[in-house]
Amino acid sequence: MSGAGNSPRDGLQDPERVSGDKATHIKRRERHGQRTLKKLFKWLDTRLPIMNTWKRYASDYYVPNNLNLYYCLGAIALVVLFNQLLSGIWLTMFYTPTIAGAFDSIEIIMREVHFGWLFRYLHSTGASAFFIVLYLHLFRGLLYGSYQKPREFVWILGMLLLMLILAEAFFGYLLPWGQMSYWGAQVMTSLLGVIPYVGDTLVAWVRGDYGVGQTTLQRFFALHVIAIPLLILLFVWLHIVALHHVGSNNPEGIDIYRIRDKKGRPLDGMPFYPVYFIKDFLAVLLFLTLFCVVVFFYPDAGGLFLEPNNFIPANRLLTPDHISPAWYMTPFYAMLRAIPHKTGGVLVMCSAVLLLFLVPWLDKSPVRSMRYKGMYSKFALAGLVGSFFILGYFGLTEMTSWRQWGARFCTLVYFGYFLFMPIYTRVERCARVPDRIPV
Amino acid sequence: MIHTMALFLILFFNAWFAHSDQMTQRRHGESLFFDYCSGCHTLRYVSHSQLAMPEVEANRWFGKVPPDLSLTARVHGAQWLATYLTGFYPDTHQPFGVNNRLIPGVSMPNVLAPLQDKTLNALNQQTYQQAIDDIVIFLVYAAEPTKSIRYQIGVGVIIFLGVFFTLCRLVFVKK
Repeated sequence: MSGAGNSPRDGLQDPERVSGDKATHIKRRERHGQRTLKKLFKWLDTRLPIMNTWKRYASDYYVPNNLNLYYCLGAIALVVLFNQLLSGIWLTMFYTPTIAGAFDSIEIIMREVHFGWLFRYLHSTGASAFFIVLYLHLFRGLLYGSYQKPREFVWILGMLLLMLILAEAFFGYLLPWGQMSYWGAQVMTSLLGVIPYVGDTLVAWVRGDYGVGQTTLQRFFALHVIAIPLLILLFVWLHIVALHHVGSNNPEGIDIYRIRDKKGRPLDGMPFYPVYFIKDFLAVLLFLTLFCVVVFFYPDAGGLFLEPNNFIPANRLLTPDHISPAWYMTPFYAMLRAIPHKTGGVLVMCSAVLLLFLVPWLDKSPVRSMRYKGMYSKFALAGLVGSFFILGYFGLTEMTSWRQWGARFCTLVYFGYFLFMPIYTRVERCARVPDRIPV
Repeated sequence: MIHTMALFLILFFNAWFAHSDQMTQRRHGESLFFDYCSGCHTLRYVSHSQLAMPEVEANRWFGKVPPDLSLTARVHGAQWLATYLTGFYPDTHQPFGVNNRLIPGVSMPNVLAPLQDKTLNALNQQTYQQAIDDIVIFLVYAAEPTKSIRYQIGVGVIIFLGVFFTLCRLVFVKK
């Protein structure tokens, strides 16, 4: 820590310094500056655990040495979150949360505000990018069994985050006050009406009115810009703290923290900084490139990220022929529509998300990763992913008879993954997991 | 790597050429819009166009207020607009003597008919089609005037990110 410059005899040993040469003078001042910075840092470090945190979270945080690209999704999600926060702050500066002014204010942002279009597209594309990243992040967890002991709570926090982000997206979707915003909110809030006895009262309470109106818009605005983002930040922090407490899983699902060298360092691990830090950084850059291609050249994404009907101002007298939520909610929406009974449909839709919370206890497999699990698990996961995609497609399109039967079949496959998990993970033959990560 | 870069390059230049040479057509479309459409239709979000007839008057003529056209191109797309404008045919049951293939029972008369009529106008069929194309190009522009600047900045951003990524890879990743 303390350099040579600390000694008062330094200057005397250097003949040039005594002569007062200009270059030496600058060098001396530089050294003096470095010393002051070091002192300042030391002062701060004794009062705030900077080095301690750096060591615990980066330079001394050991992660498995076989992590693949799936493990960059967390860092990417964090970048997307900050993109949403920053672009959101700018949008809030120009957005008007009134039913008379909301639609117009967005068009003014798009046309008159300097780079308003950029912030709007960053925000709208960011919302969709967030869900692509999060669904892949979740898939990674299911694929490599990252939810298993001791990471159950990391998983629970992640699922809570997914629900919070779904809520955030739902509240934000009303704000442009287009036809899809209005009717989407109308349909989704009406679903609370299925709760016995208190349903209708609850719907009016949530909307603040008998229909979606000024009060609804204003409270959704408050929830979207303050309440939910604060909760999301809190849970992201907890998610990361919990993860760093138990350590990362890896594609092999082998616990690297069991086998350590004499100094207590995992043999199959390496510190997060610098190798994985750089890997995450490069992955973020690659992601940003793809993200910017969409933001600058395809912000509508063919009507998936920005729906054409949402460029018509909300009209409560004119119901659109076809109402659907944004693409990231359509798999669940398709389940709702597949069930002919309204209460049943809502129950199925909610349990489709809630079942994910239970996965750590439904999985009875002795191994973590899909690389060592048996055929049943592989088929079940493929079924889950396939049915999720097909349901997503059905949720976007108009309902026909055969699509309804298709959606029912896919709903069964989706639920089968969870409900039969305790059985198929017990009976299937798993491969033997080695102690060390194979090279 | 090289394949990805090539794909990106094709993507921008495709976008670049598609939107670089439409300025004269847009100007022509704009003047046609003000000659033929702006008597009834507004372009609320395009600041210099509040010329349409009052709503009461519009209701008397058409039984409804003609829609604002600022965002029509974003709702229905350019192809829809062109199909609509060319879709008029004579129908004596209609108040204005014309009907439309895309919107049956339409309240709007075929205002572009004078452009089509060879005896009254020097324009031939080809320039009639050109007029429709130019109006559509203008309406697509009116729906998102910042599109061209978006493409221009986008090219720079993608090139920067591509170069930055490649440099970082060269510096940090040892083969």
